[in-house]
Amino acid sequence: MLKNAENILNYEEDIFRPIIKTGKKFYLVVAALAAVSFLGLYAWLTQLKHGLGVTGLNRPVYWGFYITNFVFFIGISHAGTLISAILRLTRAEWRRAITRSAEVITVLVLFFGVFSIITDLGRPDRLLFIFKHGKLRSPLLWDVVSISLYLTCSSVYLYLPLIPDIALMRDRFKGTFRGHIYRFLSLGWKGSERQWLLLEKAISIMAVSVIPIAVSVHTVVSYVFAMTIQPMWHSTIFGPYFVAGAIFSGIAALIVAMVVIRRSCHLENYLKLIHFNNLGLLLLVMSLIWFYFTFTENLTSFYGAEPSHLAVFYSKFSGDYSPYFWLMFICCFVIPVTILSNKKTRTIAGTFIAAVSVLLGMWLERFTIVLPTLVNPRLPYERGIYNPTWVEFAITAGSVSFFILSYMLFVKTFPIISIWEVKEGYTKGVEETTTRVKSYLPEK
Amino acid sequence: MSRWGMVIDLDKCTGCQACVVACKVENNVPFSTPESESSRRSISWMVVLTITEGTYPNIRQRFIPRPCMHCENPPCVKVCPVGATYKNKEGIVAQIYTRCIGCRYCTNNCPYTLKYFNYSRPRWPTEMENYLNPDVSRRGVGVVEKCTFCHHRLQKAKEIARAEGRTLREEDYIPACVQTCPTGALIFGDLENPKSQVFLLSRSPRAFRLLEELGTEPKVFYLTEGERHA
Amino acid sequence: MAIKRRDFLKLVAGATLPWPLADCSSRNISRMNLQSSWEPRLETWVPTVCGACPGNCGLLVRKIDNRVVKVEGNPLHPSNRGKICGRGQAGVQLLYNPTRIKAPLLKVGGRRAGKWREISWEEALSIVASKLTELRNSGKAHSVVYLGPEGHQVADELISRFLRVYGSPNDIRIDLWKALKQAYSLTLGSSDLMAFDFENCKYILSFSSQFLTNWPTSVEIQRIYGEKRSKAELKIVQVEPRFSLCASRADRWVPIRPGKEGLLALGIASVILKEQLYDKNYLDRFAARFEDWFNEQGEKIPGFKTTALNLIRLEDVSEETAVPLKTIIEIAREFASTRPALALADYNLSYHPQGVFNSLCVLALNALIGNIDLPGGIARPRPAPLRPWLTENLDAIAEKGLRMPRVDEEAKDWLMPPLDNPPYEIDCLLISPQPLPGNFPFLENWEEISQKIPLIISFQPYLDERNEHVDLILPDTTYFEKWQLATSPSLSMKTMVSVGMPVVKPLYQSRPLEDILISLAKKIGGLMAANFPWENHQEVIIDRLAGLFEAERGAVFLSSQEEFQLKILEERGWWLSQHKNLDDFIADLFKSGGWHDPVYHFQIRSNTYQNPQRRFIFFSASENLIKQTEPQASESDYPFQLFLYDLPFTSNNSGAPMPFFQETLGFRFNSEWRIWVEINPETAKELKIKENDLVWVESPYGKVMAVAKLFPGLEPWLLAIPLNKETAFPANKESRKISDPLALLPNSGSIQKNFSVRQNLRVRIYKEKGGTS
Repeated sequence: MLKNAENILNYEEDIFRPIIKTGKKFYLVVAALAAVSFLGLYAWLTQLKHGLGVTGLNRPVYWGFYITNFVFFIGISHAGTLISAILRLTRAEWRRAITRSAEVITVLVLFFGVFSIITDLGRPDRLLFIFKHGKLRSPLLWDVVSISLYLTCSSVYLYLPLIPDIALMRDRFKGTFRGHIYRFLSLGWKGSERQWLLLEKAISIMAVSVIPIAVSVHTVVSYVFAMTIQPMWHSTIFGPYFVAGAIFSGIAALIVAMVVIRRSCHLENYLKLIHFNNLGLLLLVMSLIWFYFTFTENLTSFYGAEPSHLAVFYSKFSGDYSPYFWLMFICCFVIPVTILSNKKTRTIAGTFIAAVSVLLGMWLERFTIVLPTLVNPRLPYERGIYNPTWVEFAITAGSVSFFILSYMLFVKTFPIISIWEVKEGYTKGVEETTTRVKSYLPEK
Repeated sequence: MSRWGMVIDLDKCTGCQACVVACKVENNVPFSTPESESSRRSISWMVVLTITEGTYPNIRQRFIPRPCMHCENPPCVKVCPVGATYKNKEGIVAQIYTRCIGCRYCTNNCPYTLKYFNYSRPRWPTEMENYLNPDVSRRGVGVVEKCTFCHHRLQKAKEIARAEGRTLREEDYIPACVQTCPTGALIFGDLENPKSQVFLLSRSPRAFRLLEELGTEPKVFYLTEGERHA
Repeated sequence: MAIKRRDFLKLVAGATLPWPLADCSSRNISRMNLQSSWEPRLETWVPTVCGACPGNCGLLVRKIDNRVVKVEGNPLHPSNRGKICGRGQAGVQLLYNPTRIKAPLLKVGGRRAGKWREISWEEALSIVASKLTELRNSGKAHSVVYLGPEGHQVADELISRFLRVYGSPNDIRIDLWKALKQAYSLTLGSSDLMAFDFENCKYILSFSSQFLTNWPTSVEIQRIYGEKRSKAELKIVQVEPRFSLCASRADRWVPIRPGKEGLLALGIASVILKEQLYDKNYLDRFAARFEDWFNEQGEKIPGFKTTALNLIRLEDVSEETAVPLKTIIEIAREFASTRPALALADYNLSYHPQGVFNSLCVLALNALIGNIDLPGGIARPRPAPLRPWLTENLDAIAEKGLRMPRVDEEAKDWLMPPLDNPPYEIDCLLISPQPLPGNFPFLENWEEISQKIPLIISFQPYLDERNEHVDLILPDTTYFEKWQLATSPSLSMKTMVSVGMPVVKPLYQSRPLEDILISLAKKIGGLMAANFPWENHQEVIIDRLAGLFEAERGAVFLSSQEEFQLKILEERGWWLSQHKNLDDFIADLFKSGGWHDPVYHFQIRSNTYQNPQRRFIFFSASENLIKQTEPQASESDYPFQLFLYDLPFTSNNSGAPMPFFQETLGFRFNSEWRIWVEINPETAKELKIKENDLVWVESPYGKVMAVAKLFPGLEPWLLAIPLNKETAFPANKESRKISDPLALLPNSGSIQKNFSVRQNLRVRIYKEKGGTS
């Protein structure tokens, strides 16, 4: 018992360390990210001043980077909540150290998804018209509804398990300014039996409800395309395709985040090879599923050979967008499958490389979904051309940087590994798992 | 209630561009510039599409004037999140520029790619602002626009008919492109009125609509070119 | 509010409502109207005459308060009947144009580098008047040259009068149609353009003629085309090297080598002759020199029939023209058996050294089937009975001046004045308000020419780089700002007069050219002033219009039903006066837009055949004529032949001040402001040129950068570049620099020659490095 208590103290020390101690490197990285974010901000202000004319958008390429970013960011948001909820519900014990870092991704990246939509609006000043004049028959409104719901739920879902840890922080930072905030946020957590009971109940309710919401969010995002009548957008497969893609990119984002946290916060003891191995296997499965969807999607269009579909297909397969398409294929399928199907390469470094490649590949996937359809109008107009400008690059880079920056700030403020859950692993998990495994077996 | 529609006789269209220019003058559409051309952002509510077929010397070229189709089932209306584009009682698909948030969802869902977006603020040389039509609002930056069948002319015709104490006659309302078409290739009228020319022509065996298979039910009908071009 | 609005409408007929913020949403409109303080705007419709091209179509101009906002065709105008072309529609941009000259401008500090200074009209007129007086008194009246396009407006007649009374024979009009006019003069005895009766014809055999798009009467022809197409009453065969807009609308396109139209016509004629499909009756009664004839010396000269039958071998024609034998015979039979059938020739035939010959051959086809002076045939327009001008009183100086040779007298060719090499020095050049045809090659050495002329005065209303060499500009107004009287354009069978009042007051300090001329004459004084007794040109117009009232025929513009009644009555010898007095008549005239007489009497022999013989005189095809010149440059260096052509509605000028018009010209090639070169896809494949690649087209004389457009509408060894395509608005020197196809033409030597090699130039083509756009 005493040994356990000592251990627990050590966890706290380990996990609190990044919050208490800040290295020089941290500031350097923050400065760099802030610089890129400011560049993005400047680009956005430029765009606000002059309108979308500063982008490379045109007719018929009405959507470009911003919508790609939107779909990409929303996709990443699936990292968190969905994975952690599924792992929680299935009582996967290895989840304990990774749930929080996943949930944070979700909440933070959703803001950037929404921001991407705002950057895409021709009249951001009229944003609130969506509520004033909202028409529910538009899939964009469905997005508004499901994303706001998702944002709410996943914030709550992030916050609830955070409460006991905040209470710990409150105790540690008593009397300081920070301590007051932690006290406010801890909602008077005392760790009483009743509180624990309530918390666990709330978490499991949220875990159950966040899954359908998360699935719906990405389905609805896909509907933005699928509900149109445009070739290779109007597809029944898009809902599950996008959800699978979202989980795929979400896991990748989580792996990248974990590798970075592990290194920078010295949490090697918490985020272990087994975590990466498991996530790597998940990523491998998703990669295969992704391939299956992509294959089905493209073969259907090709075999059906409807001219307008074929035009889009060929523009991906061998036309202007083929470099992006094939690079996507390599990034989303060839690289991850090669690395992850081999146990020897399924190391931390291996999964990291695979994950980065998947992130790039999934962005390209969104890009090759949005663009080729738009550049190939049905009537005999000239084919479209899209050359994004610095504004679009800057806003994209700025969004990504600012996302990373916010993530880092979170890590600096709250424990990135759920202390009480890890603790619970020892106190309850081990015992429970033993009982559970025993219950699977025939009675002696 | 009338249901306004257009019939375009491809046999008669000479591609003379009178409709295109008439539309721009009537509807305060700025002229294109080398910059708007190279950035592919020129706006023209009415366009004459050219389809070239065959090889030398057996070549054939068809000209297809393309206003807004004013679909009965407009795909653009469905997807607008704020109702800035809508179909009115008389079947005209209209835009509310002051409400459009510029998401360009409608432009992307129009299978005819006929909606235009104001990437920058439309500008005219000061002198040319004199000819701007006060009946048609000037669009701002960031909103979508397209052919309205010169809906303002209908509004005015109705007001005048009301002031004169009579009902609206079909010939009171005619869009600028139809009014000017030198060959009479463009015909406009009430598709509900069995006596009107468009009613009869839209039922001609020559009549077809663009991308009919999509079920958008356009109210712009085309009459195919006759046998003589075979 | 709503009641008020209705009341207002009741009060002012045809008034419009202000919807300053109007949307299409009726909900929004009502709301916005309540919010905005609306002031009633007065809407009026004013008839006038379109001046965007020499077509003189009738317009109804929509005015809101004092602004012109739109033009529509005048529904009563017998020619365009409420319709108007794109060029006409863009006319509002001529009126409200940023490049308009606001006041008379005087060049100060040297011609080239000099700056413009605004001066008063008083000063401007004094400068011109004193200079003209000085020249006149020093016996150099003849050295004043006026240069402008052909026109049918009062202004054109005033200019001619001014020059005659002043004493200059140099009333020089650039006329693209001269080859055809000369052919008419040789065959029918008058160089006036004849009209083609499209309304009644059933078959059109067009030789490179852009009748649907580039004639002054194109709007009328398009209207007739539309009417006939719906009844499938008209068959069109278009013979020309490039698949033009007209060819695309024709039932059949017959590609031919550039400049070989005449030869093909002769081939067709020979088939008609061989198969005896010609109209023997007509030829006997109305033709001369068809059969062999005797000259004054009693020698027997072979007639058209003999020469055509002897000289023309169909196989040779087929080979020379690249038209299959079968096609020639088919066309000949169809043409001769479908009556009435028209063989069309237009100014495009002039773009070749053999223009007159080609035109003669085409006219001969019409004569062969007897389709002259018949419904559906070629007919001579009848002039309107305007009151004649006051007789000119010429003084000794004027008479002496008029006896001098014209500066273009020496020109052996039929095209343009050799201003670069005149028989005597030009002391003062007056340039017309209408732009000279932009495709006119003499502008190429404009710089050289202008240096030799001490004083150049322009009446152009727009400032562009072409005014660089001008010393003084007296800006004319546009047609919206002046009184107008225009007779039927050439090629129209209609006897009509279109009139218009100023729709708006002259903008800025511009003044109608007509008034400038009258003031100038008065300033010069003496007999000049006496010959211009009118206060202003409004008086001139009213004076001339009185003739219509006195003519006791025709009527002010009527609706088509009324016109039909008038026609029936008049044909039976009835005519009822509609107006009590001249004032009534004039008022009605301006209200309806003009006067016309719908009756045309065919078969008045003396009207149609104005030569002493009163016959159609065939020419004898000689071997010399049939042999045609070939392009000069070497084939290996310059492997392609270039075909320069006029874009639709630009035969007179490019319409550069109308961006609305200019941007539509490239619609077949998806090109709004870029100049393009048309290449047969096979050729392009061979040269590895792709659609929209940037290419250079180079002749021995210059080069042009253009966008490649793959187009199966021309032979693989032919390239085509459009003329009159501006690449920017306002057009400027920079924008015209690398994109002006005229740079490909020889810059030195005879202008006429340059002009006629337009379709006969050899070029090469290569890709701009790394050039795609």
